[in-house]
Amino acid sequence: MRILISGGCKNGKSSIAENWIAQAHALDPKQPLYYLATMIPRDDEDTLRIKRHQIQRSHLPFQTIEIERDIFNQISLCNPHGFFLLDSTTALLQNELFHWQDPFEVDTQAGQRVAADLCQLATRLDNLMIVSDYIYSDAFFYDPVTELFREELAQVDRAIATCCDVVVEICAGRAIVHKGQDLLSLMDYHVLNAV
Amino acid sequence: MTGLRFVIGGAYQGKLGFVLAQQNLQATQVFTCGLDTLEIDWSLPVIDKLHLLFWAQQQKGIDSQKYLESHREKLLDHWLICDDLSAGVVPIDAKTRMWRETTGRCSVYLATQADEVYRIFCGLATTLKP
Repeated sequence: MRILISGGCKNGKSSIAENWIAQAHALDPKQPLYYLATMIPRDDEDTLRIKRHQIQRSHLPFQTIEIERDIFNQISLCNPHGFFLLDSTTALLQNELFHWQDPFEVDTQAGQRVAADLCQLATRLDNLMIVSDYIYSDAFFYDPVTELFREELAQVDRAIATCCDVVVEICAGRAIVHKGQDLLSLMDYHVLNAV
Repeated sequence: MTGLRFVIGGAYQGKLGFVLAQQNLQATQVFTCGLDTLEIDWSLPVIDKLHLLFWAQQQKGIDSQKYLESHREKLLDHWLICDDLSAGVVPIDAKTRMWRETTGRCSVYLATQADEVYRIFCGLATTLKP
């Protein structure tokens, strides 16, 4: 099953995604469980955030694969029948959109590329869970670069939503299922609302 | 097509695409509000980016909810689309704060008047009404 999980920040998306994929993996434990890590740490704050996530998932048997860019090269040695958690599209797009040597230079094809890559990934893998961030409901006129980032991330989200079997929004640790309700078992719903 | 349909959701969620697909309409049948739109062209069946109309009206001291109420009869044959601006940090700037609140109040008004209300998330619609 391919699943997209999105929602506002710090509301339990990552925990739910980790527990959900780990539960699916527990039913077929001979297959590997992969964590596709996307964030390139830029400062101490990023390093701390990564550390916090590592501790959070340390009780689960994840193998971490760094896929900051060039997804397919990085996962070419992974077992496609394994269970994959990608967290998050936001960091992945950031890596592709911005050139860190020149913060004013942006790659306007990045959203399209990330969307195509992730949809292709969804067709290649049996079990994939993708985490994204919902950053679209505030009242502010952003600068053009930030606005471009929002637009491109939304493009990625919409494309993945089309490719995925299940789309879930998390709000305050509770799940709103937008697509694929009939594919979910009682156990899935239990994990979804367990944070 | 009769009745008022109100479509809300975050920016770039695919709201307009949803409406066009529902009704098999073309982009030429959409009136898109901009930062200087004070009046809606009611001859077109779809009105997009209402939140920008509310911003423009606020700059000119026009009460957007009263504007909608005074055009209630015209509302009733349209698809109206508005960004949900309600879920971010309270803006530090008073004008932006007022705009956010106006957009919220007008959205509630439109939802009460509407026959159908949809929320779009990642291109997927949830029916909020009926």
